[in-house]
Amino acid sequence: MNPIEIRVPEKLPTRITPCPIVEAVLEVRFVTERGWTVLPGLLHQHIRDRYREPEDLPLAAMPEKFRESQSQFTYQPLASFAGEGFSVGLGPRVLSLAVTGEYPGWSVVNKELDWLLAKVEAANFISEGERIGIRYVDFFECDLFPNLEIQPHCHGEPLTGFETSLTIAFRRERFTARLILHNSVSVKTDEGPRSGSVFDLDLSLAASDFDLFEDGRNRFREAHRLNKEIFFGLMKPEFLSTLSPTYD
Amino acid sequence: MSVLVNSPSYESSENLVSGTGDFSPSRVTRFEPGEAAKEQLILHKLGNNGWGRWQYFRQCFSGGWGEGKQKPLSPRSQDMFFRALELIDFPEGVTPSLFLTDEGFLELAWRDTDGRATQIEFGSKESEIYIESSGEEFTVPNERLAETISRHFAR
Repeated sequence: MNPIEIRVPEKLPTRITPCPIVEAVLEVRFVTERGWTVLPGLLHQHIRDRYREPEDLPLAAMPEKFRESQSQFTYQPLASFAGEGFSVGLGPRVLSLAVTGEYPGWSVVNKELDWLLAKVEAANFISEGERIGIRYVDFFECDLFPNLEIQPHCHGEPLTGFETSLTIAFRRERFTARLILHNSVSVKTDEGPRSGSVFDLDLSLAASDFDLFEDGRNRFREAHRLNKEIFFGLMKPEFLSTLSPTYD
Repeated sequence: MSVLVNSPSYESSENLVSGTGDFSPSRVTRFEPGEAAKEQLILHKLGNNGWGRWQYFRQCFSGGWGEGKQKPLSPRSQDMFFRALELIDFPEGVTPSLFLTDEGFLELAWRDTDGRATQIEFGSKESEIYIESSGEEFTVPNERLAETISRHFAR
């Protein structure tokens, strides 16, 4: 997999308005020697100060044999623990921390991640990390393609005015980036459904490139930095200036 | 590995998601980024049997298995296996075999054209190599595995 050239601005905004983030998830895929039935209890006894009892997600109702036979379910959470501003997802091979509600800023997310990883280490059920990933989904009430430095073309002409979806995977430093762009989506907001485009970016690291409880926190911070660099690096400056960027 | 790209936070236009309805199992597999290259590599170097064994190990041995002492397939072992596989040039006509050890590590074994054995066990931090033809048996840290593989097994 090759890198692509992204021109990162010298200074990155700390905030744009309105905040476009509709989803922020940090995920750890892992292997464990423990059976699934004991995992929610093991984790909850360590995170009960901040998170409520686990609730089964719909997939948990599916028979185990069926879930195991379908590879798309391998890394899906089966239980969710609700907390203040965050939820923790847990499955037989995955742990995730997701922001619920308004995005509180990276420093708050980062602090929660540090706390959670310390508790997971104490719970002692992860034998080995398989992959860490960070995924941000940003929503804009416009066609995003003309506002980005990346755009599909036909015979050299940019494709505009079509329902378009683009997925691209590339290397960024030692991370794998998967960028999905859609210009025809609907998003549920507090003010009702809105249509527009999403910039959906996932950055992940393979098993050999991290040790979850030794350098995992730093790798997540790197992933966040790269996510931000790619996001702002692919945005046309004139579009960015319409989003009231603020800088430290 | 199939992947669900749909996100709970947004829904794509129906035209971009759903094509002609077909509820039978698809013959098309969408991969995680980088997975397609791995699948091609293992098919090319280990053939259908090797590919089948790898699929079997990763699908069926990712939790504890056996009588309880066997460990799940190590993701780091898999990573190192793929990094090595890219570099190894197997002798012509030789089909290597793939095993899973009780420690959850992948092991690659083959015989050279004189029938002498070579084995590499890919551990999570270091790998063990045995080369019958030179009488060598040694352990190498994974950071130096690529260099060692290139020296011994690349043409």
